[in-house]
Amino acid sequence: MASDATILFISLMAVLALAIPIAEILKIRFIYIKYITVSILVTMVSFLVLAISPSGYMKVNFMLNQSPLISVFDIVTYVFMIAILLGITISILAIPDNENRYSYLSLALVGSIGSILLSSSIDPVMIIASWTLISVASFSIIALARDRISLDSSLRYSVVGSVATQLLLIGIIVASLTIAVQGYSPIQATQIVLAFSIILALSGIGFKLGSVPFHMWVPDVYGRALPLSIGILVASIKLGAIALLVRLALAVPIEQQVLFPVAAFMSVASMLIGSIAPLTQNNVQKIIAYSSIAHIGFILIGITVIAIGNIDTLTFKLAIAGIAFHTIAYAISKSGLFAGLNYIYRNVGSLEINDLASSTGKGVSSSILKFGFLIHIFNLIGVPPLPGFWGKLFLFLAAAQDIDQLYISGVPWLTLIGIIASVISIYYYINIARPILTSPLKLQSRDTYSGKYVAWDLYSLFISSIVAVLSSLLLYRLLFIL
Amino acid sequence: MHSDLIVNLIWITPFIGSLIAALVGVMNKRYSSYIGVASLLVSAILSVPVATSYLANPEEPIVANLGTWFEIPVQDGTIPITVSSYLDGLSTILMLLVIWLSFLIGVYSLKYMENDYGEHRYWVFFTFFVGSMLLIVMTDNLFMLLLGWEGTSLASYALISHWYRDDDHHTYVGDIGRRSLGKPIWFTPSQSGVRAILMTGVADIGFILAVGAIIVIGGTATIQELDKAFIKIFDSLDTPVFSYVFLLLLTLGALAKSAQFPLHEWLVTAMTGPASVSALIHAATMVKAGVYFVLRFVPLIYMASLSLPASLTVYIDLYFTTLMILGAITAFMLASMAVVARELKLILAYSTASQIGYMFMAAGAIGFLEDPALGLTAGLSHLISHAVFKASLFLAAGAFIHSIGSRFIDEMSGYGRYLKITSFSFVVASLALAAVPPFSGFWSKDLVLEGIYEINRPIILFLGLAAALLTAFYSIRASLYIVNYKKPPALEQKHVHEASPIMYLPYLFLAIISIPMGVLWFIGINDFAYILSSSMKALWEIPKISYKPDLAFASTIIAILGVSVALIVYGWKKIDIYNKLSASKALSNIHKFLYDRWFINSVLYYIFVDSFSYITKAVGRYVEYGVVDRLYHRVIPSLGSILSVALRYIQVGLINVYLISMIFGFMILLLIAVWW
Repeated sequence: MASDATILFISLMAVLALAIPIAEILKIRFIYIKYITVSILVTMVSFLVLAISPSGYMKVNFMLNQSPLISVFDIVTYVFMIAILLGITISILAIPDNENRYSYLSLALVGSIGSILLSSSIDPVMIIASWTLISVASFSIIALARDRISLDSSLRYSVVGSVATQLLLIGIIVASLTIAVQGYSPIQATQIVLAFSIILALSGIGFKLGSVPFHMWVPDVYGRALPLSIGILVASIKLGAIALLVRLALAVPIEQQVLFPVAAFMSVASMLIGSIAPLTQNNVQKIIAYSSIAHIGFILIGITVIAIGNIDTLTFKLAIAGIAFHTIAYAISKSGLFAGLNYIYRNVGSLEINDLASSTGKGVSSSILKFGFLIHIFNLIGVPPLPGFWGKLFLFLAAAQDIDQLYISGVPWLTLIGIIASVISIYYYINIARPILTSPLKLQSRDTYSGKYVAWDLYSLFISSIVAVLSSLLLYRLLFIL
Repeated sequence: MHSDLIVNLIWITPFIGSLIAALVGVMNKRYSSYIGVASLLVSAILSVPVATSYLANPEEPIVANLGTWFEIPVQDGTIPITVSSYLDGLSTILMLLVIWLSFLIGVYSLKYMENDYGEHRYWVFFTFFVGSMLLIVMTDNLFMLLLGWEGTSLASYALISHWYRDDDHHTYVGDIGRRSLGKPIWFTPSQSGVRAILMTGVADIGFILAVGAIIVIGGTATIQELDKAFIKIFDSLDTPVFSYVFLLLLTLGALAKSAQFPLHEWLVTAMTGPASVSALIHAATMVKAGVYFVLRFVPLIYMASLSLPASLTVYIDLYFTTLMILGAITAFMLASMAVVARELKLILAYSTASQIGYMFMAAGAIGFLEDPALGLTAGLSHLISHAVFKASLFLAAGAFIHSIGSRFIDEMSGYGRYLKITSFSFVVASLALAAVPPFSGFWSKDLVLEGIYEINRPIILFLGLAAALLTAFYSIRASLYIVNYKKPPALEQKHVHEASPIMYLPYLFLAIISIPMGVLWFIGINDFAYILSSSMKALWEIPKISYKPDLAFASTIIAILGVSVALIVYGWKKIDIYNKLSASKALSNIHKFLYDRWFINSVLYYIFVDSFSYITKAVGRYVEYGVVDRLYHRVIPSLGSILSVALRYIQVGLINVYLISMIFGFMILLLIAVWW
């Protein structure tokens, strides 16, 4: 019942995505379409939040060789759907009345559909199909702004993205073929081939996520392109890839010991580099781009624990809950922050900390802006009671548990590194907050494109900060994971 | 006529009054004063039937238990901490004294504190103070005693620094700007409050440690069973000398609270509060807590020592001797300071510490007397008589200072003639302090000295008699300064007026009853001793006290001598002391030595304050600034910046680099997987 309604909603989104270009030709006013889209998305989120029932989930399908085009609507799908829909709603709300507004909206919907499908797919064909959908959508979204930097970023992203897709494809194909030919068997050669395919797939996903050592493109793409595009990217595409990572970790049996060390390495390296590298960075957007690397590192803690934890143990459930909360916090706050950055960028023309601190501008000093930034930064730091805190708490708790496996007894050091990284990261988050909170920054509340409408990105920032506060209430709905 | 609740309500009511005063005072400051006095009155009225029912049958102490509050787990079982009262002779008499004196002082404060900026605060802490003191006196276990003990510390801090704004130099103590040995020897109200809570609080650490030892090792918190706890503790000690250390720690809090040498400094600067607070601290609540403590515990220690081997008793005797010596030193030293003091309230403060020295002498004598109950009787007698006349003196002094507008006796000389009732009360109470025969002070002080005389400690007896001589001199000196010394300028006479009846009735009453009290003492001392000792029949026989004529004669002579010298110098000859002092270098040096309190204040500052501030500065410079600060503000940030710059160095933003790093990254992952 719930999954039927979900499929109905997804179909509605797809229809909308296709209808929007037609609406542009028919010159239907954008504001109407935006309202319709946002209201559908909000309805869908509310439905999902209220309809989740504690029964019947955590049944994870391990079979990779069923008939193609299988989507499962289990707890992973639902959590990621909530995250994706929240994020994309915030990003869509932030789309200003610029010349490409219809395309932004349409592509955002396409990307989020792809992301939702990716989070629900467990068979190779479905994975590849939805992966391709989000890739195409994301390349075009970055390129939509058409200025030199955005085109450059789009090119970089598409090069990296195609390599990532290749790696993922090879990994999936190798694994599928091996299993198709031999079945899943403990023969040594098969194990090695499967391990190779897992690393290939992990590299592909790691590229898309920008985890170390595949993070080199992140500061250049996330840190330079138009913040509006990056907000959509972060809220839709990235979350689908995280979901795929979770699916991968769930699907790989514990006996396959290759996932743990690789994921642990990626996690530690991502957390440390994502926390230390931006300490001397002066561009707000680049700092937030680096913080994305750190956040993927935190989520990889959960992946590591899933890779070695037995299903139905507390450790395992804590990891799932941690990933769920962290993803939701990440989606809300990153899309909200990029909306806010878009607003500042339109007004100041720069996102350098020094420029922000010295800029006086014209217009009004916005307490909405300060409030929104502060809440999102607190959320990313993990200040209670915001969802970012619960995410980090559950992830750290999961890693701190004793794990009863033959080859590993636990990963408490991962918790330690995670805590150290979070503490270091507070410095650069405050570094962002300081110019925004203390400078006499005065910004225009009007839209620079039309000069007529309210600044959607500012309101998106504000609404998303409220959503961030409220979403800690999801704790009551999602605790049944534990 | 008593139920458990009514008995306990005696000490609970002032706390309730404090709470209500705090709430009501928000609306109207004046209401809080009425509430405060009313709660004291209720408590005082309640105390009468309870005390009567005890006095009707003094051999059975009243135990009123309201139930167990919580339990302290120890190695064998748990120790219940009960909310309960225990009324035997000592605590019943003190309860009556504390509550009725506090009520009279409260009535005085109704007028005295009217329209004060802190009236509301004053009443909250005033009633809290009385409640804490009643709790100390009435409780039957050490834990509640400790609560009340710290409650009096807190309230005394708040009341001493009541005029915390430090904006009125009439509230200061000491000559403003005067320094002794390079340290300031004048204090503002806020400084005095901190001094009081620091000196008593630091000493309380010893008390708390000892109480902890009693509960953990002795296995009981109940006061009635403490003698067994003491025996257990003394038995558990490997080294006998530790029994002395333990007893000193236990008494440290009481020594500080009762302002005995060398912890007396807080009391002499506690003059900065309102006069009624001084009366409360000196007569009813604060310093008497320490005396109650030794009078309560020394007999128990003595009882415990009876069943101990001689190797231990030596140290316990040493402890008793220490109490006596400290008391004697305090009695003499503070009396000598009072001789030269210029401030009216300061003279009274010196005399308080000095008189309490006598009580400690009596308490210490308990350990040696053939008839130990004599020491207890003498100590409590002196406590009562002192409480009554000292309350009267302080309240009258408050009226003088308020009316004349100066705190120095040489500036108020002769103004006494415009405040006839106040002067009369002050003179009568001074005669009691001077221990002139028919007054109460004579009989109680003589009893103390008799105890010392009986156990044959000539040096202590000599110090006690010398202090008595000085006491007689300085108390009459202060009175004569105010009443008779010089005629005031006529111009200022109209400002000086008699206090209102609400103010003068309490101190007039307290001054006058020192005469009938003295007579009653002479007649009824044996009944008093009977009440006091009947609950401790197991311990000793009820004494037969009779005044020894030779000692009584000697102390009469001494008192009359002191009074006459003062009369000659200040009443008849009216010698100009300050001219004589400045003429002789030796005399002025002695004067300086006494006036600066034997330099003890400065020495304490050099030893404790300066050494700790030196350590603090050293820690600040070498640890805080040198290590911690450098770590947080230099090492970690530069490390972070170096690492960050290094990590960003490889971010050159070329697609080639992305792909190369991808290949390297993939190889690293493979290597990890292989090596794992």
